[in-house]
Amino acid sequence: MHDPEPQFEELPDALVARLERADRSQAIVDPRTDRAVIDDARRYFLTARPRRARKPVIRWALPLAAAATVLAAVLLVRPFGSQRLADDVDGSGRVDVLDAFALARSQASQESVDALAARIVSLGAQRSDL
Amino acid sequence: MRARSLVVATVAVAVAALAVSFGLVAQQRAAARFAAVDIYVDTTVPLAAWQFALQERHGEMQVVGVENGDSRAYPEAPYYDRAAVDRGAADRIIVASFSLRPAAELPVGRARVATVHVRLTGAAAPDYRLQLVVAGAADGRPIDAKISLDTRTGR
Repeated sequence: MHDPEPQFEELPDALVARLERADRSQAIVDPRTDRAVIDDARRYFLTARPRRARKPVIRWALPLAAAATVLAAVLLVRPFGSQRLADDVDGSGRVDVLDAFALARSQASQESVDALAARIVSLGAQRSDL
Repeated sequence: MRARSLVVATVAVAVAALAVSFGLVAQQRAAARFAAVDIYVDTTVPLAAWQFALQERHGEMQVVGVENGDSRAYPEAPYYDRAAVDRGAADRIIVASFSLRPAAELPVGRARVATVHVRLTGAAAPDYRLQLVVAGAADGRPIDAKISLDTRTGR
């Protein structure tokens, strides 16, 4: 069996003393170095962190904008579109007096026929007839 | 002396401006006149429904009333935007009507379907734009038809 302990005991006293001093010594950090390291770290994290944080926003921005646009279009267009489709009684693809005529022929109430006819001849509606 | 001349000149200019204004108003009143526009639809099959649009290209027309045509199959006044006409805001008009009478009682050939009464302004002769939107047979299908107009001038 080899015992390492006796080897250390054989070191010269001067060397042992220096090693003990070195072991006790503390690293002296200059305040300027400390400040420079902190500044570098801040710069790094200031630029790196937002970039990492912005990524998910950019990733979701386009789908969210597209969804909002579709929703707005549906909300804005649907009332008029559904009204136009409801008024297209004969299914011709356009709303004209033949739809009021078809409604009257289907024994609908006079009020509903008159209301449809009033929408057909209304000058306020955006029509392409004129 | 100089102040008096200035006052006289100012009064003269004001009187001239008033005279010109009254002249323009009188001219405009004289230019405004009424006319009746008879609308005819010509078909080879009995006409059960029709719709037309009328406007004046110069925008110098105001519709003041609409009356129905000659056929007994259409006893009621046609559909049109009465509110706009009553407001004096109808510079164009969409008129439509239909009849539930049997085909034998419906008009065939050239028939006056409506008369549009208009107020015209401006010195130029009116340039009407008349468009047949649709004409229909008794079974509800669209049919070929021709539309035309005749005008009768009033006062």
